[in-house]
Amino acid sequence: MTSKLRELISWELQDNWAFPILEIVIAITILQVMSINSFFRGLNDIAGPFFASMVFVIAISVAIVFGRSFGEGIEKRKFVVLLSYPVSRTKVFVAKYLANLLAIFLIFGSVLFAEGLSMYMFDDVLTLALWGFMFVYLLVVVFFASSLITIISMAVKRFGLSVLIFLIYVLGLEYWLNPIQGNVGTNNPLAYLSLSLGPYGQVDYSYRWFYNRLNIGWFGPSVVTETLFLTALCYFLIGGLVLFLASLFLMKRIDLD
Amino acid sequence: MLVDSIVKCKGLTKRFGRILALDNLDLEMRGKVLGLIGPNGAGKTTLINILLGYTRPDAGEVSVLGFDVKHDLMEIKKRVGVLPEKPGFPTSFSGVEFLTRVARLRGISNPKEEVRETLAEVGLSQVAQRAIRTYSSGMYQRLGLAQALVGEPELVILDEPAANLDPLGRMDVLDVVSRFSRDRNVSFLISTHILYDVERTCDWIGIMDAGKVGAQGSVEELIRKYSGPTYRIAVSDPKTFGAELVKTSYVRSVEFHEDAVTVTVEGDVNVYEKTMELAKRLNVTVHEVRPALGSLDDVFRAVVRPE
Repeated sequence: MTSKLRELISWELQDNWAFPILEIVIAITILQVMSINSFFRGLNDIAGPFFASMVFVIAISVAIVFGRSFGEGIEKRKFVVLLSYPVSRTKVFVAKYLANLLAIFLIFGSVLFAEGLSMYMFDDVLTLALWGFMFVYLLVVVFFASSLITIISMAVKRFGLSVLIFLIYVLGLEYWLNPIQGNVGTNNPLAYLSLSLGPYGQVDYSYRWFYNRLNIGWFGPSVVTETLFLTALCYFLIGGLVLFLASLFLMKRIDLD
Repeated sequence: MLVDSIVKCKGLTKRFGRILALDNLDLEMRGKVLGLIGPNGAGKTTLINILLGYTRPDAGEVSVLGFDVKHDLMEIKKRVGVLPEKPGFPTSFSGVEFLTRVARLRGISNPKEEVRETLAEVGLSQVAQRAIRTYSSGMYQRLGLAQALVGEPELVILDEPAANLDPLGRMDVLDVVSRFSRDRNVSFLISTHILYDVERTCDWIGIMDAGKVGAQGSVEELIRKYSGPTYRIAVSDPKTFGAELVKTSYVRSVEFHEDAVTVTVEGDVNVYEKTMELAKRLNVTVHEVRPALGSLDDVFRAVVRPE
């Protein structure tokens, strides 16, 4: 990592996570996620409730943090200041994106770590593989949400409007998909576009597939089919990647007038 | 560094929807302190945005310090300091923290001394440790000037540097500009509405209107070219005398002083004869009538609103 990229990341963390943003993100994460923690639950009750409770946290935190960084950055001419120094647009974009993504994942990851640890201590149902897959798909869903709000912010160049559009999309999708959530595991790929069911389905499919491959076998097959798993994976991972690259392209072309 | 021209544009065009911000602009800026003036919407900020790569032109070529903006933008950024219009500085940083980070981005590994000096130059030493969010708008603007000066750039571009500054603050900024240009060989490009600032500081001026440069050259050249014949008339009662002069058909503008008036006339008028006639009618004593240089106001009016 070059010294300028390091400097830009450090700049972004100090500026964008200044009081009270970090405190707000930590507070809503703890209140939302830790409150649903049940010490006595079965294996099937771990990933589902966790991701269901994370939807609100991911939506609000990512919207505030990335909306401020990109939407407000353009609106309040912070980009104009940064780009007057000898740094490229690509470097500024990558530094901002990376700094915020890592910081958010560090907070969410810590919560997942704490929750997993408590389950290990009080109720020995959590396996390491399940825990690992939850980390991986949490990162994937955060990456998708971050890329989505980034491209919206860069396109509308306003903090408030970008947050509004993002929340309408994410929470609207949860609301709209709610009636068909009862069909999880059947033939409804649309349900897996949700920020809660998507990662849950991926975790469920992945850890069962993992154990069955190792011939441990006592977990049984997942109710999530391969098609549904791939639907969710493509939507979050490839969709996130496309949105990220589109945001980078927009950053290089955008008029900062 | 001595370059042939600081900024050079050829056929520069920029459109925002149906608005033509820059209209096939040809411009060559030479000098040490350059001034860009013009009414609102003339295209000054659009031109500066293009020089710094914030905005892409629709057509035309542009170079800064001899470097092509399209291909050598990084080389330009290394050599140019900028105070943008309405800049968004990180308000949670302290002044000294902010300048230290700027210096590091400019490649200065141990910036402590330079940051301290720059803060002193703009008069912010006392508040250097305070968070930027607590600064007054004048302090904020001075900080903007400081961050543009960090790293001793060859050229400093100031977009509306006097915005939010009181008269004393404005004078301080102009003093810093004069000092840095004289002692440290730094060139400046200043975009402003305040003609007096330009007249006082700049050795080259471009007057923009409706996306074009209406006139360019040194202050003296422009005044000679665009201002009408100008005279300084010292009289016993400048107020009464000047008020009557305004009513006459041959006077274009009158500027009042404590003991005299400066008059710019139109057409071929015998000013000495007319002055004596009017003084006699008003019972005012004339002490002196002598040719003088016109003002930038006259030039601006002639270029922007030619009748």
